[in-house]
Amino acid sequence: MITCERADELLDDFLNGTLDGAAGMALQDHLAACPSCAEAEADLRRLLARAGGLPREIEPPRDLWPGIEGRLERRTMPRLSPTSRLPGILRFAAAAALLVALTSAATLWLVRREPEPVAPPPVAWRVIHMEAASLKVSEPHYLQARSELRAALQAKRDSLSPQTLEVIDENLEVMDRALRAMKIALDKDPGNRGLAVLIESTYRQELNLLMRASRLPAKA
Amino acid sequence: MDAELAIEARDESVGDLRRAQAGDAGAFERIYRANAGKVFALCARMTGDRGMAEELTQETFVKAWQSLGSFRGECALGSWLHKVAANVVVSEARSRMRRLRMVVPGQEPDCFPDSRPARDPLGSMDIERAMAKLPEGARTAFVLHDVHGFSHGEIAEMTGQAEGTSKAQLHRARRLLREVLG
Repeated sequence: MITCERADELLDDFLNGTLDGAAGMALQDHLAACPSCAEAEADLRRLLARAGGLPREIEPPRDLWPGIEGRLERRTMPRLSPTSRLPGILRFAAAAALLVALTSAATLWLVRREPEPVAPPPVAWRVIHMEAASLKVSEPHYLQARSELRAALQAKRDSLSPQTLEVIDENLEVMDRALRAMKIALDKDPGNRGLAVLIESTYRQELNLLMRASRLPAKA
Repeated sequence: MDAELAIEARDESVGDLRRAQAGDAGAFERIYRANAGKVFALCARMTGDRGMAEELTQETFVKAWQSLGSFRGECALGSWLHKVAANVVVSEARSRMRRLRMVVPGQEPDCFPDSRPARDPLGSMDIERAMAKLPEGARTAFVLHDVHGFSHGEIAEMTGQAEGTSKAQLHRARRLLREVLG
């Protein structure tokens, strides 16, 4: 049986979901037997629910743009966009990676927040709905880009070191396994928007990895 | 919003990002308009001072403009802006602390540093006001982790502290807030 002091130390990890099995069970046993620590746990859960329910956006009391605009240095030489040096298919994949940039905040928000906020941030909420609804539309594009990038990687395999290939293949396999499992789960529960978001996010991670792999320099 | 409109909106955002990276201030203004609320919320909560948050929000977007060309889409634009904002706030706090320590050397107190908020067992006290009164390190950890969802690893990267320090600060913040919020 652990002490109340130890239980207090473990509560944070327990509620963050990062406590391993044995310590978690010891803590749960303690909470079942100790009303004072059980009350502390309930307090902490309430606090986290309140913190998680705070709006992610607070509009500034005045328009701050004029003060920003006056301080922007003029860029006379336009910078190359990250995609402008890439051949056709890589541009497509880079565009997908840019989409990650603009949408994965919602994914993170969804995955990280166990207690659903009382007043979810309007923009992030809309994005989550958008992503869930758009998986059917976007999936064929991901699959096409994946297939072309995989072909590009296949053509480049001989120029990469065995160690590099091992890492790439291992990661691709993990993502494929995850995608297969999530798609089976989504077939059984088609209305689950969280799964749809995760599937899209995994596709994007895979495209990103493939794109990076195809940019790797040849072995020395 | 249906899927088609959603995709259109995303395409517009991607277009604005690329145009802003190429130096288009108008596109950057649209990025500002779409993200000002999120950045201001983070700055206001990390500082506990809305006046200072206005200045730091402006500073964040100026810094973002300066380094937008190096943004490669490794994370969401909103997350990247949050990180820029957190760095701006932490840097400002560090230089403020350096100035203060030159006058009054000391450590951060392990309690509410000024007027302690009255205990509010019914939960009607504004959690925002309670957070604003936390010691700075504890407030930073709580706001970044429990309100805005950053991991301890990300917080450590932003603050230049060890992950263990972030965890300890979060534990302290949660304890102090539980004491007053009940």
